Amino acid sequence: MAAIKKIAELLSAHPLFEGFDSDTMEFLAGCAENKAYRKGEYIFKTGEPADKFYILRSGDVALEMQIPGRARLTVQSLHTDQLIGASWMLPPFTWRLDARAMTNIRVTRVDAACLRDKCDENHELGYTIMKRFLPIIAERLQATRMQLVDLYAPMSEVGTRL
Amino acid sequence: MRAVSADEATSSWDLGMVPRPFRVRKNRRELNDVVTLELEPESGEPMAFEPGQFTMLYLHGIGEIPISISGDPSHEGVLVQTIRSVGAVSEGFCNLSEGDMVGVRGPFGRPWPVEKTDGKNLLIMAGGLGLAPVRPAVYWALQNMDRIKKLNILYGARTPDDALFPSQLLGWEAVDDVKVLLTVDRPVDDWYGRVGVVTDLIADLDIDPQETIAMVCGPDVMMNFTIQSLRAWGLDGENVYVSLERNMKCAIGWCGHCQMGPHIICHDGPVFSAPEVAELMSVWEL
Repeated sequence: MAAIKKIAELLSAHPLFEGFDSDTMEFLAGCAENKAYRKGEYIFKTGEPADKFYILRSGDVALEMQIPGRARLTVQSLHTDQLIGASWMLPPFTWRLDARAMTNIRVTRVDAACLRDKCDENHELGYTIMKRFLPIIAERLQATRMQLVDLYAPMSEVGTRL
Repeated sequence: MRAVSADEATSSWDLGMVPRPFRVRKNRRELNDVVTLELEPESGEPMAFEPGQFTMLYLHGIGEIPISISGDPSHEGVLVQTIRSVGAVSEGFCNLSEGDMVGVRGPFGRPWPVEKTDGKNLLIMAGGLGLAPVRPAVYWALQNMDRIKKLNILYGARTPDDALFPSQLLGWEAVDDVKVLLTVDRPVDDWYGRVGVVTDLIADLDIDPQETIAMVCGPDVMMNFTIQSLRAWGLDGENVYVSLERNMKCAIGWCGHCQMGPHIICHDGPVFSAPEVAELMSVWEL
């Protein structure tokens, strides 16, 4: 019980769950646990069921893609206090990327399958969760677009010469 | 909008249209297609400048281009300019050797408002080669740390190997009250640093946005995105400054080549506050 209370405090302090009522926080904390991963360890891999999400409490994580015949590609790095994983929200509920610890890390891991069921039952909670997670997803999509633009490419590669 | 009226100036010298001869003291290769030239005047006074100003560099018989000054404003004896090879003139400058002569006009333009950072945090955000035009402001800040609270430098590069002035970035990070964060769009195998866009780094700032002046330089899209992100962070647009690069020709506000909406970039800028130019920066081909 004390552990759940501690996790509830940790989650309450995160902007993602700011302002949630005590019942919801207690429920979330009941679905959560603190975990540690060593540098190099995978938190999840592409194709595995996306039934959890993680709040990175300390350390750095790389989101990677495996491309046959090529070295693994880091598409984004995540750092302290950031959310790891949103694929639990949308079918087919499988991870689209690998998440690998770049340093020793500590996370709070939340059972997203449990939360998903709760959101199905309680649409108000589901709507609130959506409102909190969507801006993060949108921000990451926008950042991905910026990376795709390849803003800092030499002019010789862009094809324009001044 | 015109920079100099006939009453204000009576000769080409006064107008700043005549290049002064400078000699290449050093040509240092920064990246595959980027060099930093150290130039010294062949005769006469050294060229004093303020952080954020630019010069028109003339390569005899080839052409003239606008280049931001990237050196230390307190070192007046040497003019430092960082140039990327993107065309015939810039490529010619990149290939210069020690002792070669060039023509220099300037310095021109409105500088970074460093005096506004008194008692505040200075946030530098740069992308790619955009670190060069803000480097003089970094030098200024490092020499005036008693006047500012904290100096934060957020820098985005294409790859770790494309980061400009890497040894200086490390050196600046070691200074008290200075924070330097680097992120790259495309990592390499042995890169354990950050991957993502430069605006991702804003989340790591531990300063009060209400007490911060930001100076932003990079491609227009990056600056536009950064302005939005800084506003979302809580920084008033009036306290965000950007440096624009356009096709400056005369550099004294007469020819209009660098006009963007109501602004003549060479004279009214190149440094602008975000509200002055943010909307214009989103207009296609302006």
